[in-house]
Amino acid sequence: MYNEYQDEYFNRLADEFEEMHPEIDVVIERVTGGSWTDYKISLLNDYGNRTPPDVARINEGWLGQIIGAGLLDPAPDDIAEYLDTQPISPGLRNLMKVGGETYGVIHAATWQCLYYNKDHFIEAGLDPDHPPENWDELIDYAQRLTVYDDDGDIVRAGLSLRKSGFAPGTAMKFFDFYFSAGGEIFNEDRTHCLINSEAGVRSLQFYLDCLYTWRVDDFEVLGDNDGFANGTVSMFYRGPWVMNFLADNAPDINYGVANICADEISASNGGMYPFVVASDSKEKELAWEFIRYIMEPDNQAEYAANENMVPFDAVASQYPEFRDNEGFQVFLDQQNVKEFPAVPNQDEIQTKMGEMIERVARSGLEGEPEDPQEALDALVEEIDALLVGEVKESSIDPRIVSGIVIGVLLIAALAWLLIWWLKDPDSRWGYIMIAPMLIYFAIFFVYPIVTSFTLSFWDYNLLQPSNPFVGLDNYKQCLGDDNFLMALRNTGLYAFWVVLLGTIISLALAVVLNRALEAVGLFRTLYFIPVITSIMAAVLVWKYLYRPNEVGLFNMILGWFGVDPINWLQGDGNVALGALIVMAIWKNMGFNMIIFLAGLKAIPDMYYEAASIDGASGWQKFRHITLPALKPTIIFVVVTSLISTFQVFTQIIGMTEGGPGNATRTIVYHIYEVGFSFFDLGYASAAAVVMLVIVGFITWIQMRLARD
Amino acid sequence: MSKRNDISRESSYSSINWKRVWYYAQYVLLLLGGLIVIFPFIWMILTSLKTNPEASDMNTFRLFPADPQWDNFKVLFSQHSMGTYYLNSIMYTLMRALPSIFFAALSGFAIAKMPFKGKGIVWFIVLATLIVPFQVRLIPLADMIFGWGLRNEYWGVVLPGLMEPFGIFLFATACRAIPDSLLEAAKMDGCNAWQQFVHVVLPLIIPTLAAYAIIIFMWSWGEFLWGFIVVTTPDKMPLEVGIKGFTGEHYTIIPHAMAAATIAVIPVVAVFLAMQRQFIKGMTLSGLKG
Repeated sequence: MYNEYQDEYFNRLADEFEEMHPEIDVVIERVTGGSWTDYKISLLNDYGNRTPPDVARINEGWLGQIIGAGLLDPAPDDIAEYLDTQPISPGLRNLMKVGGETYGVIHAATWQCLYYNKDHFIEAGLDPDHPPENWDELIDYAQRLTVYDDDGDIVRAGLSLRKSGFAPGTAMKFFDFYFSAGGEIFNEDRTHCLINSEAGVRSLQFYLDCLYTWRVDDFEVLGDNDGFANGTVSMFYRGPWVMNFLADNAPDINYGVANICADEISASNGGMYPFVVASDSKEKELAWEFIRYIMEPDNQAEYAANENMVPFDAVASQYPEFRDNEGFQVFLDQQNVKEFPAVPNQDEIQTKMGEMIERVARSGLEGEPEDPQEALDALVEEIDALLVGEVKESSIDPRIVSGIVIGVLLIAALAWLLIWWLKDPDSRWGYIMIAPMLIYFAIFFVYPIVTSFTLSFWDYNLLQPSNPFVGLDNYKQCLGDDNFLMALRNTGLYAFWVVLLGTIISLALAVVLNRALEAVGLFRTLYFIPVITSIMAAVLVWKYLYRPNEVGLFNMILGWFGVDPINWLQGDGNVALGALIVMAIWKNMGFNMIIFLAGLKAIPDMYYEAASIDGASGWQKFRHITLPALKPTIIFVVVTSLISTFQVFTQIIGMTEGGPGNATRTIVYHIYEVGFSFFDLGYASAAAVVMLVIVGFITWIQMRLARD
Repeated sequence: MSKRNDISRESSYSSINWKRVWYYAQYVLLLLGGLIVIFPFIWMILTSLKTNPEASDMNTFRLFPADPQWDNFKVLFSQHSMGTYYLNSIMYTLMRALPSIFFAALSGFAIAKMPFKGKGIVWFIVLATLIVPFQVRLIPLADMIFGWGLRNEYWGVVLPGLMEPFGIFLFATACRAIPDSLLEAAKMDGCNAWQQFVHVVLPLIIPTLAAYAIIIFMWSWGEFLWGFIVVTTPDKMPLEVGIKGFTGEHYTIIPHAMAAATIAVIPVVAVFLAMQRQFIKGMTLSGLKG
């Protein structure tokens, strides 16, 4: 069985369960990475490959995808009945049901409430025991709570909106407003998206007004839970886990929790964590039995307390640790919790929604903001296309096609070998020695490359029942996909600046270092250390240096010179891309410097001596001797750096996840997201082929230049 | 000639000697640049010993931790599986290094020195695969490895990295530099091709072997994307994938993340400092890729 955190807790339950059922062995697996995204990708891959865990703890966000593909086992009657009798918002419960069947049981749930800083309330002359209850009050309070500096920039946001970062998360927080405005996401049979309704326009307009009319929030101020802990946010909506976060990070903060403000009604968007059993499981009975054990009130309460979530069980939620906690009480009182209904392609739909919200929210930064109605209409059109997928006839599996191609090539190669083996005995040793390499290359290089090509002509999705041949459709989709074009642009910009600035800086360093002979070793070592540092460790450190507002080191240093803090990674898109470029230059300049040093050493001293005799200045020597002699080295450095910067990925996934607003989405990140998150292998392969063409083109230029 | 000397002597007496100033200024600049380059590491180590509020609250600047929290490092091994990540990274590197080096040297030798028909095609395959980025192969490769049931298995991580076209390219180049007469002589003494490879060629290409070993070490140690996709549980995670877990879903405990980064960086830096020359040579060679 799989879960995402809490190893200790689940291992203990598994041990206890094994004691009760000595005949079985429960294996708890925990899945890669630190985030739900990583977990989801691993898990859905296993479902897609028909090797799922018996029991999995999942998240409502991907439920629709798995149920839609028929990968889950319907729950036994007693579990279905248990689900129906718990006092939880019917919306959450209905999520588990598709076509009259129940597909699992909710283990813990989470939804949002309003967090507000009581000290800020007192300071602004508001009653700390009377939080806002409706949108009018919310915006009135927010305006009073917002603090501006002398330039009119916001230094404290009255109401912090979630408007960038992980796109589905942005969409989920938007729904707190949308549901409260009385909105529904889909029509009854979930074939048509309703987000362009009046409630949708109202909610999106509310965002725009907060940012540009009332000016209670912007993109520069430190927002969300970090901002709340640091006193730069007075109010925001978030889940119960924030209570834990605040206890850890800002124990002195005086805050209150209140229900979501009503427009039509007070409704929160909710999420929940159900346990499900795979339809491919061989031990379904035992799997459900284990779930029954996990669902016992004591076990549930312990988990919910560990994770700061609301327990699902009626008995467990009355335990003192939940009833006596004021904040939890508010959460338990928020009975109107609605959710995003389960649909196929759910993840892609939520991603599109989040991206749209961020785009519209940012659109007012330069000129007139987008019209909410138009933006929502366009979005609905895209989403509806994803909801009603037409089922096409499956063609032959593209992997078989490339398998045949490789097979024919291999047979031809073997025939060739055999002929020459017999004809030319001198060849035999050579053939024996390269045979392992040829076999390995056929399997691990040629086959995957050929398959990337064939896949790119198929509509191949792991979670869809049929995979037809579609010709050039994937390439057309590529060129019409704003995200892909954005990725191309960003990768190009990133590569251009990293290579240009990186080459100039490392060349300058090498020239200076080449003359300062005495300590060359020391400096070479110093500048080389970032090169050998693992990129993920560097990411951890730089992410910390780039923290927004006054809490990041860079901003603090800027502050000494009177410069306003910058939201490096989540504020302006160009700033974020620039921040990544600076880090990449830091990481690689030592490497290029070494190559330049080697090139400089190869220039004979007598050239410089001759030039000195002729009275040439330092700059003239550099211009007329060093540069021409280094030309091959410079070409080499530029081309190799271009190729490696084109493949940037770790930095992106570790630092920005493509954000803000797609400003740091790169080609490889795009391939990764489409291929391993949306499972659209055909489209991802087409993007990979486009990348191959670009890298091939750069290499071709290098070969041309090297020849001259 | 003498005139110019006079001028320079004159200037050194009459005013500031700008040449000298520039000479020292270069050192100051280099040192300053070096400090900037190295500062993230210093900051990382200092932060790894701070408490969480100390690290998150920057309203008051503190360079040094008030009370060094050595527990931040203990936590890595007790609450997280840092030790396991380490062992895994070492194991993946060893599993990859031996076959990589052996087959690259063998194939490179065969291509450089053995007579056989179709060599042109083989060399073309090496060069062609050399320029194809790994990401182009990623999706079919993952599909294939998962299909073999090697997801989250040690071999699943290692298999696609057992041979690199770059290594073959490197060794073919190195072997071409070996004079044919040496091999001829060995042949006269009754050495077959295998014995020539082991007794004559290998001793001659030891510098290339060492350089390539370092390249493989760096590649394997720094590999992220593939491990990230194949490995699903902490007990199989290499260091690079494991430490990503320190950026939490909701929030990061900064001193723990910095302690993890410190532990990940220090040993590689130590090996680098001990074997600087080989390292730089190896890394410079690896730049030839692409």
